[in-house]
Formats: sequence, structure tokens, C-alpha cells
Amino acid sequence: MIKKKGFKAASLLMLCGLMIALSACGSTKKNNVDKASTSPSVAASETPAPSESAPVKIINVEFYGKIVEFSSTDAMMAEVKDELKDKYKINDIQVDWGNLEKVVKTGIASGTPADVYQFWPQAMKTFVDNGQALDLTPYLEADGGKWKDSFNQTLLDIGKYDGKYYNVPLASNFSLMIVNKDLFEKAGLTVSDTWSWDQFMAANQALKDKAGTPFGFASHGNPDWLFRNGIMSLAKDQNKLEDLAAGKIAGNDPIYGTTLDNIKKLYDSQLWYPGKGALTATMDENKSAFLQGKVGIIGWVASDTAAFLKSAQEKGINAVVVGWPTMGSSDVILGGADGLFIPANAPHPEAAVEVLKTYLGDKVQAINAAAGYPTGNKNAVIEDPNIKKVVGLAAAIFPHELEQLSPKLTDYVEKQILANYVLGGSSLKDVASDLDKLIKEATAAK
Amino acid sequence: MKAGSKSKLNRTTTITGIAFLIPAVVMITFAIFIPTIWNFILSFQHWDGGSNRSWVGLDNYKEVFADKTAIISIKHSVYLSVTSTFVAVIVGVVLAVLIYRLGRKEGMVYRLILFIPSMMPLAIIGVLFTFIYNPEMGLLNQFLKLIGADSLATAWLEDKNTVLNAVVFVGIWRIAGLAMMLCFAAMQGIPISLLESSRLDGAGYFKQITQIIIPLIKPIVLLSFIFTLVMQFKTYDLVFVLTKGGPGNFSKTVPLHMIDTAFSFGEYGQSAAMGFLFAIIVTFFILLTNRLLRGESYEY
Repeated sequence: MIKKKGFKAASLLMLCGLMIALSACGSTKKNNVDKASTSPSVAASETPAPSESAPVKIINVEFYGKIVEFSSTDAMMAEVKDELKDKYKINDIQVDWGNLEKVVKTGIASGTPADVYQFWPQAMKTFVDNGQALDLTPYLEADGGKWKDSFNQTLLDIGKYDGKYYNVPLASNFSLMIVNKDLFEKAGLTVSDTWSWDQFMAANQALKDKAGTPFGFASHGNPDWLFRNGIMSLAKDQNKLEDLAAGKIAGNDPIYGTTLDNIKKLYDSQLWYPGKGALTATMDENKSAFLQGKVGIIGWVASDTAAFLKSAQEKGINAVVVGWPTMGSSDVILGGADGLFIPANAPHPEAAVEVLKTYLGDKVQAINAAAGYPTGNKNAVIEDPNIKKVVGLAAAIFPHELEQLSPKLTDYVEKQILANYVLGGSSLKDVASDLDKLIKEATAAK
Repeated sequence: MKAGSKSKLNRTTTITGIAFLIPAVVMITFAIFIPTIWNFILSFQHWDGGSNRSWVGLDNYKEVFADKTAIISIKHSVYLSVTSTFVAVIVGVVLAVLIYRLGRKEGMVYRLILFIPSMMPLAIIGVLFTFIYNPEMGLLNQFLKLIGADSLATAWLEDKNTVLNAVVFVGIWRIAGLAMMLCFAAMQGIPISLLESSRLDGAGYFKQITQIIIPLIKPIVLLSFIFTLVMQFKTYDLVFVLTKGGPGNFSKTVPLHMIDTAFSFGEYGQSAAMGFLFAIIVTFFILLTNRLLRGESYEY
């Protein structure tokens, strides 16, 4: 009897413990929700006025936008922190590009996201459709559109969905190529700003045959750019660029097949560094190959061009920027911009807007431009001739892509289609069937 | 001692014991029971990570079976886990019986060397082997070229025919030391008199291994199998660092596909269903291993 009573008492004790722990967990979340739901402007008004006795309340702002690949990042963040030190304590977090989408989605789903996230404006549709991004239009258009006017309008419009702005641009970002001018001259080639796929293949062969490089071309670590640029170029020739992005071109269309065949030919001809392993070579391996003179051409990304050219210069390489080779006769480039957005459930949206305004403002972006980055802020002055060329190439950007239709399509286009066709032995018919299924699924869901 | 004070002591001991259990129970409840139940409930819902959830019955399970990548991932996970577990434990037992014969100091050195891979963080192992497998300057291809076997050199982590086995090899290398250590520890408990008397009866070391040592350490071998199997089924970071499941889906495993399905595709319910089905598969293999290795155990 006593044992039974003891057991009951102990069970009750355990239950109480569990309830306390559960309620503790619940209350933490509740506090977070309360914080999130409180209008920051109200919160600000509740902040005690500065006085000798009451110190100003400093708000912690989580800024998921520290791009360590940008040599200007530390200086820019230091300037932002210094300008806002009286109001905000900014915790700048390094961007994990490889897992960016997972990081952002997990943060938003957890209910405790960062206040600001780095994300590509051209890929915001999922967040916009799910109501997970804050509409920045009122902030951009306040004071007669002062903030809006500070941006390059083309880049700003990439983050515009259904007439509302959800993402603001940091820098233009798209695929381009960098070539070793000395090796080109050795191979008897002339460098031109634009070139066709056939010229690109011929240049690869000439580099190998005449300049003595083991390979011609190294990708950036994103071999899918070849496919994505290829289908866009061929679609533009047929005036179907919008149709391609809208999923109106079936998976068995020759646009896809021609592009895949071209890429397979490049792989099979052993012109693509390092031969076997070209589809899995990392960005660092490819960069090393270029800097060691193993290749004469490398696919690169516009926003990081300045840093790359500096590395090449330090190695005594005369490197210049050229456009991406076009598989069709039309000049079109995938890409858009690097940008930033505020999640709809950000803990401090007003503070986040102020941080964004400072970060993307004239003073901070002047630092970025001086370091050679093609800024989204139009008032920042760019001096470097190579970066001026990058800004010129940006005119061919078309920011809407097939893969933006659904995350599954993105995964298939970026990770699977080339592997399946080039390495896996899948037939064009199989690949077309898989692609078609995903396109239909994505368009049906809209 | 009087009956009354004895029962009071019992009651106090019971209450104290249960009170001490409370933190562990709370932790286990939050870390295991609640997520498991929540995962099971989620597997019958549609949830994209936002606020709206809806009940969809068995739709998520049907979608898992219709998803080619999910089926491929399950096959890869089973192949990777079963193969690496089987080989790693066999290698571990062999290493243990070899080291058992060595003197104290040299045995210690060998044990340390062989156990180091099990102590290393998986991310470091992954990076180490990406260098070994590198198609252009990796150790493996360089070695093959050195011995004139150039034709065997390949892009180990890109080739469809080699990528999964390359991951399996790393799994074996990592875990064999742990199996060796467990078996060696069990062998320390075998009375030396048993081995000495068998030697007097004319048994060589091989016979001692097969007739005395292996039967006596069988429960630990079984434990090693189950422990290793569970570890290998759960492997996420090793595959992620080595191949990220690629190229394409050539080395994709269930944990990787679950993460993609939930956090990239926003299909949390389908990911939960996949997790539940995967838990059933893992349980099946644990029970199968248990049954295959079940037998008499000896007391000594």
C-alpha cells in the first residue's frame, strides 16, 4: 500500500516536472511570438527615452549577410556597426552559400529567423508565395522614393513580385568567363567580349594543342551554368525566353537536347578540367587550375570577379573578363543579383530595414565599389575597367529561369540532369521524360 | 530492523530513485519520444514549413513510394550500411584476435593507431578522403599511376560505378577500429586458464580463435554488429562531405533525401513519412541481425 502511494507520489512528481518543462518551453516560444508580433515601432516607442538614469535599449539584430568571399565585407560591416552602434548590436553571420536555402527556410520555419537574410532576388518566389518575406515597398517609396532611387532600377526590379518589392540588391551577380590573355595569344586566339559555343570549343582545342595546357576550360564548380545558359540562349533565338521560364516548353524540345549534347561533347573531348571529375570539381580546384595555367578559360561569377582578377594578377597572369559563350546566336545570361530580404516573421523588422538602408546606402556601398564589386547602389562609383565591363555585360541578364518554377526543378536542373546524361548513361528520352514530368508538376501547382 | 522502518526505508529509496530519474526522463521525452510522435503525426499531414497544416491520410506514404529518388536513396542506404557493417565488424574481429597475441606495449600502440579513425570527426575524415580520391592529384590515383595501373585511375567520387563503394570503404575504415576495440575488450575477460588448457590439449591459435575466443565473445560481436548498423544507417555527414549525395543521385542516402525533401522542397510531411518508413527498415535489419547471430552464450 505504502509502495503504491510512494509510486503515485513519485509519478505525480514526474508529471509535474514534465509539465514545468513543457510550460517552460511553451513560454519561451510564446515570448518569441510576442516579441515577433509586437510592432517594432510600438516597441521603439515603449523604449524608455534616453535620460541620465535610463540607458537606451540596444536591440540585437541578426544579420545573415556576411559574405566572406567579398574582400570589402569586414570594412562594410564595421561601418554599419559604427553608424548604428547607439541603437543596434548587429550580429553579422557568415553566409553558407551551399546550404543557403535550407538555412533560410529552417530559420523561418523555426519561428526564430534572422532579421535579415542574404538571398537571390530572382529566386524569391517561394518565399513570396508563402507569405514569408516582408513587403519592402512602403519603405522604398517613403520620403518620395529616396531609398528606391538609390538603386540600379534593373537590379531592384529583379526582386519585384506582383508589383511589390521583397528583396533589395547588393550587387549584380551572373555568370561570366575569365580568360588567360597570354595563353590565348600563345594559342593564336584573340579575346573578344562575346563568343559563340563553336568559338568556345575551338578555343579550348587550340589552348590544348597550341598553348600546351592540359585542358581548355574549368567551370566555377557549378557545371549546371553551362546547361542553364545554353537553354536560355537557344530559347531566345526562337523568341521563347519567357515561355521557357514559364514552363511552356516541353521536356522533349530540342532546346534541351542540343544543350545536353553540346555539354557532353565538351566533357567527352577531355577539354574540361580535370577530364574525369569535371562535374564534381570544386570551385577551389578549378580556381587553382586556372592560376596554375592548367586551363586558359574559367567560368566565374560577376560579384567575385575583382577578387579573382587580383589573385590572377598576383600570380602574374594577365586575365580579362569575357561574356559567357552563347549556344544560340543570341546573347543572354542567367543570373541577376545578390540581394537581401527581411522575413515576414523577423523579430525586429523596423530595425532590419534601418540596417539594410545603412548597409546598402551610398557611404557603405562606396567601400564595396572601391573594392571592385558591381554594386546595386547606383551612386557608388566604379573605377576598375574590368568591373566596368562586368557592369556592361549585365545588360544581357535575364533573371527568370525554368528552374525557378519549383524547388524540385531547381534540384533536377542544378544537380541531376547533367550527371544523369553525361555520367549516368541516361538517354535523352529518359532525361526529357523526367524533366517534362517536373515541369508539368510545377506548372500544375501554380 | 522493524518491519515499519524497513518499509519506510524502501519508500524513501524508491522516491529518491524516481526523483533522480526525472531529469533523464524529461530529457528522453523531449529528445526522443515527443519528436518521434510528432514525426509520426506529421507523416499524415501536409505542411510546407509555414503555418497551415492539413491532414492528408496516407498520401505522403504513397508519394514516397512514387518518388524514384526516395527508392534509390533507400537502396543506397541499405547497401552502404549492410556492406560497411558486415566488412567493418569482420575486420574488427580479425584485428582484435591479431592484436590479442601481441605484447602489452606493442598491442597498445596498434590499438591506438587502429582506433584513431573512430575518434576523428566525420567532417575531417570526409575532407581527408576527398583528397585521397581526388581524380587529378589524389593519393589513390597517384599510387595507381606509380605502379603502372593508370587504366584503373578514375574519378572515384564521380564515377557511377565507384562512388558508393568509395563511401563504403571510408565507412569501413572509420568503424573497424571501434569493432576491434569492443572485441578486444571482451577478449580481456576470457580466463587465461581456458586458453592454456586448450594449448595443453594441442590446440593452435587458429583453433583457439574458432573454438574458444569467437564463441565466448559472440554477444559482443552481436553488439558491434547492431551498434555499427545503426550508426551507418544514420550516416549523414560523411556522405554529405564526400559527395553531397551526388553526382546526381548516385550516392544519395535517405537522411540526405529527407533533408532535401523537408528543407529544400518544403514537403515536411513526405519527409516525415520517409523517416518513419526508414525507421521500420532499420528495425527490420536490427532484428534480422539479432536473429542471424543468435545462439548459445557461455558463462565463464
